[in-house]
Amino acid sequence: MLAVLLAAGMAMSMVAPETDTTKLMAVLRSDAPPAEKAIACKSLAIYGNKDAVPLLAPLLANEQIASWARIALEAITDPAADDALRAALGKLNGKLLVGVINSIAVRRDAKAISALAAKLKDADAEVASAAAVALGHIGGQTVASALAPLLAKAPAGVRPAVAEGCILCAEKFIADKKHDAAVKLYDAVRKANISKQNTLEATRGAILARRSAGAPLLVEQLRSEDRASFNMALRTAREMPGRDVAKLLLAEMKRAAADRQPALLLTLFDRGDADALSAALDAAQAGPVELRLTAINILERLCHPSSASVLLTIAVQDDAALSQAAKSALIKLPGDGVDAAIVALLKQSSANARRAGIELIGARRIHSATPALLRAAEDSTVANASLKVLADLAGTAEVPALLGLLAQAKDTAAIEATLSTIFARQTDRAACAEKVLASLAPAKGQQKLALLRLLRSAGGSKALAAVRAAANDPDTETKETALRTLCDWPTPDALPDLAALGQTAGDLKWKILALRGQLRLIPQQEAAPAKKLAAIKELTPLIERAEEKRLLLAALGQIPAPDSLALIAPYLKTDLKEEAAIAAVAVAEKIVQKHPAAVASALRDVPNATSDKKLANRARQLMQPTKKK
Amino acid sequence: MNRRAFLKTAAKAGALLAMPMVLPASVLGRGGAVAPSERIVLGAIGIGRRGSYVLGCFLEEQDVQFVAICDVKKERRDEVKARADQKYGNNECKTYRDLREILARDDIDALLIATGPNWHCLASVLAAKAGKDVYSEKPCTKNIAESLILADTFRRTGRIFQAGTQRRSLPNFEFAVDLARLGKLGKLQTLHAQPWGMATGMSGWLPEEPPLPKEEGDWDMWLGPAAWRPFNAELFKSAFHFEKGGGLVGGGCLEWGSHCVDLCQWANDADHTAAIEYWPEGKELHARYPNGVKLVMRDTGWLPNIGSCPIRFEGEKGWVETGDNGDLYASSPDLLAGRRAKVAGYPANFHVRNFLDCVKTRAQPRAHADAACYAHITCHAANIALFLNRKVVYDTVKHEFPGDAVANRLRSEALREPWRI
Repeated sequence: MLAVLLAAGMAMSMVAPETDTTKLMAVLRSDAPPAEKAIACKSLAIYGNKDAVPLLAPLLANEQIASWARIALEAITDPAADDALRAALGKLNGKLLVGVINSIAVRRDAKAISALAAKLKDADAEVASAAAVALGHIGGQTVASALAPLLAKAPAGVRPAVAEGCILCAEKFIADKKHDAAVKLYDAVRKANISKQNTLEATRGAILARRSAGAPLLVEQLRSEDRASFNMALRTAREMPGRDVAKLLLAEMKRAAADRQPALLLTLFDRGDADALSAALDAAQAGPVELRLTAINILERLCHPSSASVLLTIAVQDDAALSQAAKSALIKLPGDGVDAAIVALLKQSSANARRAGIELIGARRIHSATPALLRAAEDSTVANASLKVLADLAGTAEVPALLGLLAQAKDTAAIEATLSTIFARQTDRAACAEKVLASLAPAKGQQKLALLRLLRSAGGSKALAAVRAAANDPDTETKETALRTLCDWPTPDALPDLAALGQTAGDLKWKILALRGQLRLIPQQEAAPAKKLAAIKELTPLIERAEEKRLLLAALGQIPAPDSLALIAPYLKTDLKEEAAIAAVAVAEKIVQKHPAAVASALRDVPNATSDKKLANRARQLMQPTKKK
Repeated sequence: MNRRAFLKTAAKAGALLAMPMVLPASVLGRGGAVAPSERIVLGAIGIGRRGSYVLGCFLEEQDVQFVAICDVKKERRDEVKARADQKYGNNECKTYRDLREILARDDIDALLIATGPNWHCLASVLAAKAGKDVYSEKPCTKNIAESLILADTFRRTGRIFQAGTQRRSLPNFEFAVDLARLGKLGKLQTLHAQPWGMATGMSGWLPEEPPLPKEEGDWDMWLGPAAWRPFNAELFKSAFHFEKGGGLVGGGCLEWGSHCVDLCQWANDADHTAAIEYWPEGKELHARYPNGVKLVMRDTGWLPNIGSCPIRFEGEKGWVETGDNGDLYASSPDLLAGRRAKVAGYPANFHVRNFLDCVKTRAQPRAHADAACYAHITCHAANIALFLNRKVVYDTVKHEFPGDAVANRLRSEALREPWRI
């Protein structure tokens, strides 16, 4: 028996299909409730055969089950299903009859033509309409002869269906290569007093059915003052094969009003005509700006390398919209030749062209352009733009040249930023450090300060040693820069220097910076949590201000140990309770498996301490007793 | 992030990052205030939670005049009318319970269809026959036959159809697709999609309950083309989810596959064809296209934090992966050259704008009827393989499963009287 899932409150009820047709047919024979019979019908749609048809046929008259029975009868391939549906035509009326007619339409039952034709005169407009459309689906000359006269004679309520039936029938004529018959029927529909939409559909068909001879009618529609006719022609032209249609569209584009030209060009593009490329190239270069923008957009979508030179010309022009569109298209264009053409822009005298070239080199990531970019970095009008792109594209090979530029630069900031970004990307930073160190010895002034900061980006023991040495430089600026660099040093090997600075510095500023540096680096050490916490505890007496307390909590949050929770806990009742709550939960999540009791105790105040509901919930979950599996 | 907010971000990020539009604003008369006579007159059918969001995207556009709402639920009709009237400062938004009434209005150019999936295809087809352009939420069809009829109808009527697969208009997905289509990944090998929850079943009945007054909630219109069943309040609240993968073979990969499989189709230049072989493999569904490219539907194994609806395209030279977090990941940074500004949160604004532009130009929209048709066919055929738990082979010319009587019967399902498409 079918397992019908009837669960109150469930929005979805799904059933597993029964494949045993004997069982399914037994359901239909039984007094089972309609729900079970309905589902049996669905399964019979998949697995049923002609034996099920006599059981399904009576259900066509059952208002609750008829739609389910037709699911099966439409699907069962045996002609017995056709016989049953045809037989029902004479027994039903109203919606149930309409349903049966619709199923006959789906099955394209040619034996039903005469019975359906009789229904065209049915007093019920829905029945007559269903019959007209069904006949259209079946198609053929008999159907055409039955439907065509009704285009004029049918009641107004049935005429749209008659027109639909005729159009469907005409389409079938085309599929069967009976183009003349199709033309005749389409033309008949066009002349009928029917809806605008039906007329447009028939006009489309009339053009397509005429094949190449349909061109004049297409042109007539393209030139129509009526926008709907023009629109239909645009869609129809997309369906028509052949170069002649492309030529026709090109000709129409030339004579059409400006507001229609973009739509015609888009039609060429959608058709996939080879002519679309040349048309778009022509249109992109001159004419109304709207058409030019449409053309450039098409060039972007066509992505053909041959459009590079036109697009490059537009990209360097002053019109911002055109230039932007052209650059957008150029980014996508494939081909090394396009790259070369873009790099060549950097040799042009126009600053606009050079800027556009740099922008495009960056966007296309043209690595081979780095020599040209380095030259551009010496050109004050485009230097910053070039350095930004170099930051993204350059590697260690370009570092010496950039250091050379730095040595001569009045403003070192942009070059320093570029080098710093390059260093951050490198796996062999020691090599970077060597290069910086080589430049450091002879450097003075801003250059020397920039190089000291760059040593931080490069990192490594040699770099740290050089910065450490510079921290004792007699020059104040050099010394301060070196000390700041030390305080910002990215790795824990600077910790001893920072500890010493914190103890020996006379200026409070350096004590604070050293303290901050240590709080940042201690958690990064490769050491046991206990050792890290010991180091933190040594610093605790020095921590007075809220800013450093926040850093302390951040540091503790990274050290997974019960003692961290103990150090965090007092802060849950201070102004820093939000930061403390975050730190406590971070630690707790890492140690809860081993230390559930310490976690439960330490997190007790977290839900009240934080206004972050999600964080509070995480804390509550961590406090739950661990379930044994 | 909405479209305007995105454009501001893009402008800050640099001119090259702006989203390309099919046509410039000035061409379409939307550079500034748009005269009422130039506006696209819009109606909507079936506006629940998703529809309400998409309608908001339409209402943001200056060249849209929203005039009518049709919904089987009074509460929703009233809500949408109040929203529209407040926006326009009038009382002119009309309400309808029966979609045939809104379809009969000659003044409406386009319709947003955001009913439950049960109605999507039929309402779209009826709208096209009534001379309306359509933006329809997905899944757009319930079975293979409906998919083909959808495409045929929009071709025959010359109307514009945009499936609500808005990821086709989002920069990260578009970029990934371009990498595949432009050969930057080398010869395509495998496409990956996450349709979520690839289980199928058949829809049944829920217990009968006293129906609502028709004006409050029209059960008969809500059922529409679905086979009859008694009123059930819980079902009436839902979006007819069991019909999402098709009434005959419910569930499955249609809900998300209509997005992510659609993107795979696009990447494979398969907007006019579908995969031809489908077979379950463990918890995955594998398929193969006529050009040999493999499609893998899987729920797991994606890059961390990639968001919903992830896709991955693999070629001989490289791979790209992206999802709803808006980020792009690739086998080489150089593959990501020219990527546009990140847009997270999969907004529909760009897709809506693309539809409106195409309503005016009659150009092919991003998620046109043919593309939707074949993406849905691939999903439906995959569903059939999942339902039968065996390999199926599909003929994309004859649109049948050769020699496979059972699979062939799952291609379509009768519509409840009096509905037909």
